[in-house]
Amino acid sequence: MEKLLEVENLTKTFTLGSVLSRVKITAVDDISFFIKPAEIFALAGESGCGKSTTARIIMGFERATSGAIIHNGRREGKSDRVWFTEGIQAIFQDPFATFNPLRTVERYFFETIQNYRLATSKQEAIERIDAKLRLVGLTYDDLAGKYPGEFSGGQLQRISIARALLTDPKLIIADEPVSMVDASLRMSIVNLFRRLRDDFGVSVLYITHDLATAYYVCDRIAIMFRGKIVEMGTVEQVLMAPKHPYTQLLRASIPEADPRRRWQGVIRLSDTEQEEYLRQGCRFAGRCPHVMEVCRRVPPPQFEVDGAQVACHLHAAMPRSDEVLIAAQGQ
Amino acid sequence: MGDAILRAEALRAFYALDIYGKTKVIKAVNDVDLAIRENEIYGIAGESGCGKSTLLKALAAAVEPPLRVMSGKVVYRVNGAEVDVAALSQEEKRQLRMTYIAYVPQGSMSVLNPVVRIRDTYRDFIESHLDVHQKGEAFALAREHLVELGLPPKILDAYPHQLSGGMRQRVTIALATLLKPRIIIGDEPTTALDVVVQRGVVQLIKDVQSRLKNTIVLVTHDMGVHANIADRIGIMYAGKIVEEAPTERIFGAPTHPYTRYLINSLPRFGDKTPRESVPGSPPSLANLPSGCPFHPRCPHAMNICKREMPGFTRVAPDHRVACWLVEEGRYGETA
Repeated sequence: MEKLLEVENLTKTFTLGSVLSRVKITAVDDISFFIKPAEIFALAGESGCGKSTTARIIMGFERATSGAIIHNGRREGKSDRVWFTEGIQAIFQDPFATFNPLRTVERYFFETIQNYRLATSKQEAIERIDAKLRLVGLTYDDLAGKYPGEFSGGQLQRISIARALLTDPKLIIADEPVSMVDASLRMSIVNLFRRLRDDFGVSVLYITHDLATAYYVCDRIAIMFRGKIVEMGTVEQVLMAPKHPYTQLLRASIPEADPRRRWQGVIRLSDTEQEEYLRQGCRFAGRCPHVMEVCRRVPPPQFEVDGAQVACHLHAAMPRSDEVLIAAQGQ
Repeated sequence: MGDAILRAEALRAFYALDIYGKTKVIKAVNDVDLAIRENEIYGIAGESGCGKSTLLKALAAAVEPPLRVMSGKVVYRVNGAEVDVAALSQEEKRQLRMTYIAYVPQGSMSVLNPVVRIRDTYRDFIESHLDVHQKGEAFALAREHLVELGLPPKILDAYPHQLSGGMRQRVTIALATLLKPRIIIGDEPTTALDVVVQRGVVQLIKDVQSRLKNTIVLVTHDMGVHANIADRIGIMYAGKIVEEAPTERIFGAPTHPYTRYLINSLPRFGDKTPRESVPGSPPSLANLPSGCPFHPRCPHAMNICKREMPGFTRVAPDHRVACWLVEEGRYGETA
């Protein structure tokens, strides 16, 4: 199987506190996954699960404590940074923070063209910018000479996607691209990812906490919890038939836009984040309705259940059917 | 409507900003009529910049310059008597606040004083509203209240930064409900929380409402939260309520073209059919389009839409829509 980007045993440790009371937090704990060409892969989870740290390591903003990023079969090193970023571009959460309010938007486009030497004349540059902007439903004339404040959040997000497309990347890393965009405009961004995949073979690493849009747009998904990938598979497998108790809780907690399917039952919230990071065994053990003695001691390895990867002791000896699990949780 | 506890009548609240000598008027709340009933959860939905937070401020009598109420009024029913909010003095407003109407502002994670413990915030609060001056008595009251809401009383000894975002949010809601107000107004109380925590907070709000049998007015842009909690929903667009109906009807029979886009663009599990966003961008409140403010984005816009704002048409009991298509009985042709 061809792999566009591979993340291998990635670990990132942060040290918190002063000299006397040091706490080591493993924000990303030995995770591995890969992205195929022309695929939208979601890395999902709640805040503090390590999904953004993973993205920042891939983009090179942060150095991994251990592990490797392999892009097109080449390991990422310092020397080929430009080659690396030409193939991988990023867009960020807050479109208003992406652009400096005192600079015109077009300057970002010309800067990218200059950095990667994508054009030889100004006319050629403008043609390239216009072509990319048309992909997102805008034209060069729409933004010539304008400042970020003159656009809406949805427009700015589309503009930053167009800027990312300038280098013809094979992979776009999108860190929560729709969480700051209005619900009524969200779909225009998400549909754009679909088109890029289907028409241009661009892959997207879609980092999100919004499982509903992830289901809508993604092919495969990995659910992270406190630095670990707890479940990975196709969106159908993971979101429609979740096997890990945490995925089940997450899936059941999403407010569905259907008043006939309101939440039933009462849930338990976590103690503190730090406690869960420092847990010895499975980090979900403190809240899991099916917790066993082994969960508190041994971190669960990945088990293959119906084609999906699940890190849960429940699936070790005798895989239970998910109906039983959901029934036991009282949903 | 006899059972309305909180009413807005032709309410217009504008921001008047002075920018380089030019006055810029932002029509954030533009002719809003509302009647919110006793013992209901009323949801207000709309995109950012549609004026929903400003509407809440006006309803909570928290209007401060540059925001001004230009015309119309807000009426509370306090102990059976109607009270016009504009006629109240500062002191009377202060007395109504928290005992009659409580306001949980947006980003309430940062409303707790970071340098004092939660119990001191509680004490400040209790002492300024109740006739309690014994330290022990105030703590006992706070502890009792937290236990009642199912929150751990040990958080009284914590500083705000020691609590998680979800816990801080629940403490703020707990504070707002301490004096058992008849109306609680919440501005995006679950936004920026994780889904599991959000569910916990919604759980708490529902729990409080069923216990106090009071009125909750909730603003959020998350239609999923509305579907889960609201009894009735008002859809706001460019400073106006454009549609209002019981929750089941908003989701089951959305009628205004804007509402229809809003509901149909929501992604659903188990359904990957392509969904479309509302075309175009939201209008600026400082420079509103003529007539119906939605007409530049509306696929069914007619000539009259560009000239005049439609009035409300009742399409079902409790379901009103402001749209010319409905007014002219042409709704069926486009639905």
